[in-house]
Amino acid sequence: MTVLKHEMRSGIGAALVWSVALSIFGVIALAMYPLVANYSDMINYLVERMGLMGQIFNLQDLNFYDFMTYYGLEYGNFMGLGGGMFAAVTGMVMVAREEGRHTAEYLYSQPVGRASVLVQKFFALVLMVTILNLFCALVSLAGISFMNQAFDRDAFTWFHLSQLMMNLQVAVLCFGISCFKKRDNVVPGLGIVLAFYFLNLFINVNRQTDVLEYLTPYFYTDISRITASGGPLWRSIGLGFASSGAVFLAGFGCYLRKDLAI
Amino acid sequence: MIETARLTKRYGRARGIEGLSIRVNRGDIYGFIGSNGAGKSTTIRLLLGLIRPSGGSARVLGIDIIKRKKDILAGVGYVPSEISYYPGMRGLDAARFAARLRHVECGAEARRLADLMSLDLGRKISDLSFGNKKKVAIVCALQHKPDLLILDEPTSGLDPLMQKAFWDIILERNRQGATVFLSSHVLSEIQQHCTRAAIIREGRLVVEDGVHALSRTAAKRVTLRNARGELPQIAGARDLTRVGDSVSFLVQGDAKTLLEDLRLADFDDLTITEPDMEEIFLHFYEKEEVGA
Repeated sequence: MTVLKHEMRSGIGAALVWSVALSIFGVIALAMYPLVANYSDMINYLVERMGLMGQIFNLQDLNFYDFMTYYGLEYGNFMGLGGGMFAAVTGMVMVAREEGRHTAEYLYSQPVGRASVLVQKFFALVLMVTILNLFCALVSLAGISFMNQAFDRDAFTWFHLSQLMMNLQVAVLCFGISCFKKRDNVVPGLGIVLAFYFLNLFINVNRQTDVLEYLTPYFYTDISRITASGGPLWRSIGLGFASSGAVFLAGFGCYLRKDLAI
Repeated sequence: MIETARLTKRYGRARGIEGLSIRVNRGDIYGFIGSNGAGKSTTIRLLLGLIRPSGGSARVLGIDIIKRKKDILAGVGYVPSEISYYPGMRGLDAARFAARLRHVECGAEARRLADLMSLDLGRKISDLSFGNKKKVAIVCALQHKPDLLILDEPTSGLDPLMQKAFWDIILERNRQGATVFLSSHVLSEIQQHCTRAAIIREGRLVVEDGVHALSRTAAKRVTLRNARGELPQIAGARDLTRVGDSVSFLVQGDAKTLLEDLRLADFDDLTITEPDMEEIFLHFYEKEEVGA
């Protein structure tokens, strides 16, 4: 537990800063909803005529009379990217920084197994990603209550659960990649998040790309897909975790045997 | 306490160490001598399980270095040549973190060691000098009173007073039963404190023996005071230097032959001394180079 506590102590500050920053965006989006609701007729009319742009952002399936549609779209855009980037950055540095910042010699000259360190670091990562998602969801919930806004509680829960799953999938993948690396570099993690995000936009345009749906976790965070299926897209989530989990296990195995860069 | 058998580490095509076989007995203070890049740190990292050997085997505290690394580390205190700590840590945090990972409570011993070395454990490590960071590493390595101390150039960065304080602590631990394995460039401290030593060159063991035996097997330093005229031919003499009226040289061979050769020399006084560790080191290095 010592490594877990240490990781939490050193990482919780950054997690809270990200949580507050993303929550502020969430609150701003909520505050703008009454204005959007007043012009929902016009927005629906415009969206119908947006053509490819509407397709890219999957707007044609949305109904802007509905609060959860607006919330899922706005929140999904900034929280999806922001939360994904937090998960990627944290996952990419958590293991590799021991070698990149030359603390590996200090840590691993103590009687602690590499497997134990990895497991504790992984739990710290999962905790931080969960804290960020819970914090943002609770702030949103408080904002919605403050506005006295009626909303679909099930859709809200499914949506935030899907966001959490997406963040965790990115975190698992980046943690696994980080195990192979000798230097802490966040760029590959950010690249992966952006690739996932744009792959989802591509899927929105080209609806015949069934296989690609399972390659990006952004697919299952889309509010229109969640409401249409009546719950989280468990099949996509399961397949996403299976592929990220494979990278994680390969990285874990490699880390147990590799020479540490001192 | 430490036993390696043909221990080998290669980094791709680059050399690490090659076929290293050494033995450190319980209670030894064992010096590991070699120039930069000779393979000293590589050997230490292999012993601690930070890197995996390419060949051969090693046992530390009677335990195989691959199979039960954690058990080895529980009984070892390690001071690296250079060390980095986590950002924002104070000396006390570093010592506590190490103690918690060992599941031991040794705050009192950490404070005692810090006092002996005049170290303020309350200061942030990032604000400390290299020497003071080294002291933090020494506290972390010694606080749990390990059976085996592995020290990689432990006195580098310490001023002479602190070096003395450090050696007082190490010798006290050794008297209490701890075995010490240290690499050092400071050959005089190996000569002064170590019971056994090994010299490593380009990853290969050159020689391993008791420090006194190493001194005996090496050349003797001969100094002639008020030497006049040319010296006669002296068998095996080298490293000849003149300082004022004195002539000094290293010679290897039996004393009888030396005295026979010196019969023709004109001088007032003669001293024959054991060479210092520096000379032993150079002697074995040169011998290896000639053989190479």
